[in-house]
Amino acid sequence: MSLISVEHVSFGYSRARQVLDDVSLTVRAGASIGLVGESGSGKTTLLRLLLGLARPGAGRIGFEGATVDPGNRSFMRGYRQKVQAVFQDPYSSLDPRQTVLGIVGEPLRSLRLPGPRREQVEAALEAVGLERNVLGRYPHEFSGGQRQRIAVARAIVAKPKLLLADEAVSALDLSTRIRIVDLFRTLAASMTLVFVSHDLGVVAALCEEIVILEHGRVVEAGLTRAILAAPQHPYTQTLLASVPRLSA
Amino acid sequence: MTPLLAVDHLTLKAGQTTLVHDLSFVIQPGERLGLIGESGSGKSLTALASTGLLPPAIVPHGSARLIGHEVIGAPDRALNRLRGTAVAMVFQEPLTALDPLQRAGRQVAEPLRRRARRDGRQIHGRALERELLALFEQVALPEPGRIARSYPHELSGGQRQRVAIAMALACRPQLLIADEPTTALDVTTQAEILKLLDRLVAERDMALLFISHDLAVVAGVVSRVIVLRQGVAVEAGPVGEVFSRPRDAYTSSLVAAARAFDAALGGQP
Amino acid sequence: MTGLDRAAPAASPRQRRRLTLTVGLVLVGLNVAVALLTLVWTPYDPGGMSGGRLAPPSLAHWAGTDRLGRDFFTEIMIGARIALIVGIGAVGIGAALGVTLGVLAAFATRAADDALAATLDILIAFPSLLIAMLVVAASNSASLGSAIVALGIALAAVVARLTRILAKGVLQKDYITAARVSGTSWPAIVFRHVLPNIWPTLAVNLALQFGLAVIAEASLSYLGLGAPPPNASWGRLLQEAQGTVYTAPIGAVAPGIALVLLVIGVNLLADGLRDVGDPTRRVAR
Repeated sequence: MSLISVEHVSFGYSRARQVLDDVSLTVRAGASIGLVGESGSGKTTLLRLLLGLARPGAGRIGFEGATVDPGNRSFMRGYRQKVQAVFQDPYSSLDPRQTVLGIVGEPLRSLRLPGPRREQVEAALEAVGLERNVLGRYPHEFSGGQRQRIAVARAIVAKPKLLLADEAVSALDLSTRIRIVDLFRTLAASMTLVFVSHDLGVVAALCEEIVILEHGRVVEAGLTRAILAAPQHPYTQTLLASVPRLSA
Repeated sequence: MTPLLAVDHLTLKAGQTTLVHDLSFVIQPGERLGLIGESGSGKSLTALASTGLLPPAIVPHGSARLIGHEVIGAPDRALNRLRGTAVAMVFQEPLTALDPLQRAGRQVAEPLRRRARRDGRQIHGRALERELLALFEQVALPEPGRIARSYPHELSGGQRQRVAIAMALACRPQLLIADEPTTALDVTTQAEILKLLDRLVAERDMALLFISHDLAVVAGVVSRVIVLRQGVAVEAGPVGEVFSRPRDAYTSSLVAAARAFDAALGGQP
Repeated sequence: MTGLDRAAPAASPRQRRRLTLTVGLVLVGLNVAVALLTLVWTPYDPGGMSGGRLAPPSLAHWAGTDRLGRDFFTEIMIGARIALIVGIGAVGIGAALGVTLGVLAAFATRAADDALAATLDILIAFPSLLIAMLVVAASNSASLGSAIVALGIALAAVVARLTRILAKGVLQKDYITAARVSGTSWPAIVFRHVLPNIWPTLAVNLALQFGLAVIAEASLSYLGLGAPPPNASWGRLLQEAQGTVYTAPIGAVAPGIALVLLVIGVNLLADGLRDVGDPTRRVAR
């Protein structure tokens, strides 16, 4: 069952600067997918379109069959409960003047979701491996990895179907990175994961399917294992060859 | 042979907190050492201490000698001569390492001119420009003339980092310290910059101190490593040995994490 | 742990901040106390002539009398009340107007924003005193109210420009995008995320504007555009003391000192308050 369908989407700030050019892909429920690209690939823009923060210049984005329309407020309210995101910079994605309770509880408040807010926040914090006594603390009291966990808690508190992660571990140290990747792997059991990253290693560890973007176009897509074993497109080959390995 | 950098029982404190504890290591000319650590390990502070660039709030104890000259406690004037000729640094974030208000060419010309003056020759005008463009070619910058006339924000991340490396090389240092030089770059750009550093260090017979949290990156560039954890060196040795047979638990966990990502990629292509 | 690392700093930043805040509170508090007091009691009836003209300070008249025989100390006290009214009024108007404009500008389209920024810059280029004089002259009465409105408008331009740039900075942060993705509406984003994050810098600026407004009003009064006694501000008292500054120096010294103390107090308070309400100043556990 297709959760998200991106159909011939293009986006550009001007005729000359096309950031996305005829991009099509499908996200199936339960199959985590990685969007791999470097700077200039258009992955950030694609993410913004998927989050309903902008409208495609051409083409259509569908969610469970319905077209994603950022202007339709009631549609977006339902959409936002089902589609959530975690961002790259743990030092910029949490409001420094809000407590953990305020931060993680924001989707519940803004989307007017029913139920005891405090309990739901505590459940989300527990799911990401944080203790419940952090509710009254402020972001600056936490490390990068912990902040990212708070951000993930905020993303899952509304129990979304789709979780979009934008370079969510790129800013983290190696040992923190593997722990957060493990967290995402656990979460992938109960929701579909779309992981945007330029790091093939992380994407390979998390995603069954993979889409490679270069200069706003899809150059290769398919099952991760197959593509890694036999990359067809020269860019994919370069990407794979560029990843530093721990030589035995 | 006088070591280029000899750090002996280095301890760094900020107030009551100890940031680096009793660190000792040596870098001989031509050697490549990797300093592996995560945030809070004190790896960047060690580099700053070795060049006398510590912020005033951090108090150093112990000794750090650059080509035999003591850096800890040395006055700035003495250090300035050392910094230009003995050691140069490349940082992680090229956007902040370069002056946003000066064109790239002008920024690199400065250390070139200064180094020449120290060698006893004056260089300016056309000759300076020629040396500058030659340097830009050495760091594999395409269209060196255009790059020289550009401001930092007009360049890509990879280009900026190449300019920063050119700036460091302009001093003709004996030791190059690179602190997470590729962490902020895309993976293909990272691969290019690493290859560039590898080539330049070999060609110019420099020593290299490479600081990073990424084991795989370090593995490809250095011959020896020291693993830092919260200011303490927990393991040291040849890179192949440390990564295949780590003795310390922390090192083991780092190696395991790196191998997990490697395994996901399915071995060598 | 050797003795080397036990070096106790002479006055830690926190101690200095606390001292700043305390001194500021004392100075401003004194002013507020005096102002409140004038509502119920003054040594003499404000308008009444109770002594000889330009009498020197004495037990009966602590600061002497003015050229019409009114108690000078009473007039100084009333000046404290006027100064507070001016400061609060002007800053209130300026903040309300300025913050609103600034936030709107931060959201505006490029063209509208550029136009607004240019307008603000032109407005700011005018000396606020000139603007105030224009407004007061246009309103045809030299009253406290018109002065406050005039100063408020001049102030609003500066506040708007600062708010605009601060708000724009905050709007670029990822937590704003995260708030949008959480379904938070733009008005809610402004009140919950933007305003609290620009508040520290803005508060310091507003406190400084308070001091500037008081001085500006004193200048207006000094030029004869302010209210006359008994509702005279210190500036007006300074103007009246011009002719007699050699024979009765207290006529200029007293209001001058009062003015200086209030403005310094407000600035110190602003500095000290900046850190209050900032969660990052709390000790990390």
